[in-house]
Amino acid sequence: MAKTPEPKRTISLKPCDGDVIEVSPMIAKQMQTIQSFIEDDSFIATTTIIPLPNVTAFQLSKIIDYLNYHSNSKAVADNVKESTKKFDEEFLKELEHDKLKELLHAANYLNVKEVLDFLCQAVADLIQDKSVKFVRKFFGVVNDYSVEEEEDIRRTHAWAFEGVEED
Amino acid sequence: MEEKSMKFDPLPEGCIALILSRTTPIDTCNLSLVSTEFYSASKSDVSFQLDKKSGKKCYMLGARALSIAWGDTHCYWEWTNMPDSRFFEVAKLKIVCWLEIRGVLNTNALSPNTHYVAYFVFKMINSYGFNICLVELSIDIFGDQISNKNVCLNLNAEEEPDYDFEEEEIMDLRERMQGLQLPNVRSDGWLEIEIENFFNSGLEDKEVLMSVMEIKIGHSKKGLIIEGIEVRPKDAN
Repeated sequence: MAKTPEPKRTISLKPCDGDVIEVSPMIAKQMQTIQSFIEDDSFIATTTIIPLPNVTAFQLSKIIDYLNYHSNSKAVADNVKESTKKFDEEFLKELEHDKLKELLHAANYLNVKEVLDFLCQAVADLIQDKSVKFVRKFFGVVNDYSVEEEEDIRRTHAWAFEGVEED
Repeated sequence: MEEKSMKFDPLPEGCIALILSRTTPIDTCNLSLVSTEFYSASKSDVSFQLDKKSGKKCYMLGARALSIAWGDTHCYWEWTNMPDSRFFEVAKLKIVCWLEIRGVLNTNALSPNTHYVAYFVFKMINSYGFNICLVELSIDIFGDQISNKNVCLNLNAEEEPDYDFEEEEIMDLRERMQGLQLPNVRSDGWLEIEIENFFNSGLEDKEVLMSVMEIKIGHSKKGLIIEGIEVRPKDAN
């Protein structure tokens, strides 16, 4: 009987800088944006290289690291919880604020829910109890309220601003 | 002034809404002052948290994320903000006869391999009509599990006046109300009543449809304030 050749089992992703990165279909499946490429009729796993002009090699490999670790540690007993927690902490420790925001952009672009959830929680923890001024600086946004609009919000939600430090 | 972080594109509003939904209600409200984009992101109608003990996902569909019959008709429902709500707005029942509230959640938003419980979270202020009111709570997990039951939403049923009924009808309804499940008081001051529990295997995406209805007696009802529907792991605090 003729032996069919082993089909190529990885998906090729090309970040905006650096070389092509191969990922398993299971990892690619978690990136919704990639999924829509794969489902396209013109997609051929053996030859197609998916270009990711909005994602750097660093961001892509961080996201793949996270997904790899978490998919391997899934469905395993409780004693893995501690090491997962440690992995998550280490993962964040290596990211400066700017890198964290960039990674959030990349996760949002690739639409990879698990990483997006994780990073949003990390940012939420960072801005918890922080002043409006800190948060503006953190996100790089400017105050685009008129004086009247700002007053209006302060008045409507006066209860929330009691005891909050004025900027 | 040049800020170092200015060189990055701003995060999309959807991302900011996701982040804000993971902070406290006070933070969300305070941070709505950051910019107009943060303001609209702060009006997110779904709240997400991780259960402190198990690390599993908890979701709350705020009143705005629910479909409420007549909800946008001002003479029936009013949208207002309350200091102890985690959402920008809550729904306050002015008066309706037809009470119908529905919420939908996809199981892919929840943690796999987890037993969940869905709760209706609300308050009663100057309520009327709920002392003789069999409210039907139901859940339908697409194709899997369908259940419904009658409950009493008013913890202090005897304090409400009865106007709409004949003496005999009241006696009959009172009898049927006997022994019905009652709400519990939450640590945040709201009331909650269990709709149903279900197991999320996480093997496939399913829609969980939850509803709170009273359309059978069809008398006037007032004073219900809806925070939302919360779905959290069974052993969560």
